[in-house]
Amino acid sequence: MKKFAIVLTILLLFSASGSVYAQKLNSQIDTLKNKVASKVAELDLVERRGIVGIVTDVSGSELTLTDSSDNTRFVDVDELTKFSSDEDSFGISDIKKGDGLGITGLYNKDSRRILARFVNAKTFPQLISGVVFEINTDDFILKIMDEEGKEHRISIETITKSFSYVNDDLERSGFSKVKTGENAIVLGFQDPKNKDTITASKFIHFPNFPSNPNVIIPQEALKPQDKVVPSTGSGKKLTPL
Amino acid sequence: MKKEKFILSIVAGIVGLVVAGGTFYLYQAGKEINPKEIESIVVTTPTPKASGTIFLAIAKPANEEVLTSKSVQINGKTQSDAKILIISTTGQETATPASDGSFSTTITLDENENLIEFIAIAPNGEIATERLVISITTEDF
Repeated sequence: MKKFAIVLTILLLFSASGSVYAQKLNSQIDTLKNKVASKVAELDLVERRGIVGIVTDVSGSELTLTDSSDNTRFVDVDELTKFSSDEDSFGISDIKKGDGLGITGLYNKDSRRILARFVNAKTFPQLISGVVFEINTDDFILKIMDEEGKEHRISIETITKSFSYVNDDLERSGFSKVKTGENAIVLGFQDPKNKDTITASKFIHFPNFPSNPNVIIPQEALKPQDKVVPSTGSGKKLTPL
Repeated sequence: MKKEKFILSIVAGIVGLVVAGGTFYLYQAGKEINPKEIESIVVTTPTPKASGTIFLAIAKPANEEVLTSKSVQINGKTQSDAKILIISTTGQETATPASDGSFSTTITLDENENLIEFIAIAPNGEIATERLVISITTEDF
């Protein structure tokens, strides 16, 4: 009986110490859980976001896009994703490399992936900012040099909405009012038939501002805007009507 | 004696469970993550692009923000003597900054994703541009 009491006491003591340790550990785990939960909430890991971009890869339920800032974006689609386009039926199987898409969904800041909720087939215009250095009045083509020294061939069409920025406001303008050396902003789309030409959907020029000093136009690129009228020899010049 | 054996075996069983539990907790507590394996996440905020001396920063809305109303208020900052143009597929607006360079205007956008171009032009002809994607949806997700 004495032996039994000793063994029992030892076992109970051991048990009590184990129980205290377990309680302490549980408390630490709870504290850690709370910390993790509050950190997740603080970081707000998932948020609603919308992006636009060009498809560079389609693989299963994953899309890879280059967004409007030239960043690579990864998009996942699932059974809840809704697809829309001008076509009657449109789904992930219709998406191919080079397509323009607008994606709205849930962005995970940790994985940096978007779980798409809406996928819209769309083509977004590109913005060109620079100085007009060549005007082709026959073809209604302008050439614009940007700050990176890149030339852009701009086609002004009947659908182009042209404006001039005058007196802090935008006034309707036209191709004939544009002069070389003026700053210009173009919103347009690549001509599918002529890849080096941008068809302008909106064109804005700034007649009352000096040329952007950050745009350097090579002298050989500067061409006279007005045609030289040949002399008749009698001192009078033939001027076109 | 049988009774004693019975009680002892039950207590020994309980103690055994407690010891096993304690050992498991000790094992779990002993797991340490190598600090080198911890990946730190740095949340960076976009900084305005500098183009020459002119600057343009859009404070509100944030890029890629999803809003529920088509009428969107824009707040931003540029140099005080610059002129502001805001172009989207739905239209184009002008704005003039206050003496501290801040400007505010309201534009109307389409449903779904919108690409908005912000242009600031300085009196010397320098131009700064910013581009935002703002989505409009009333759908809950």
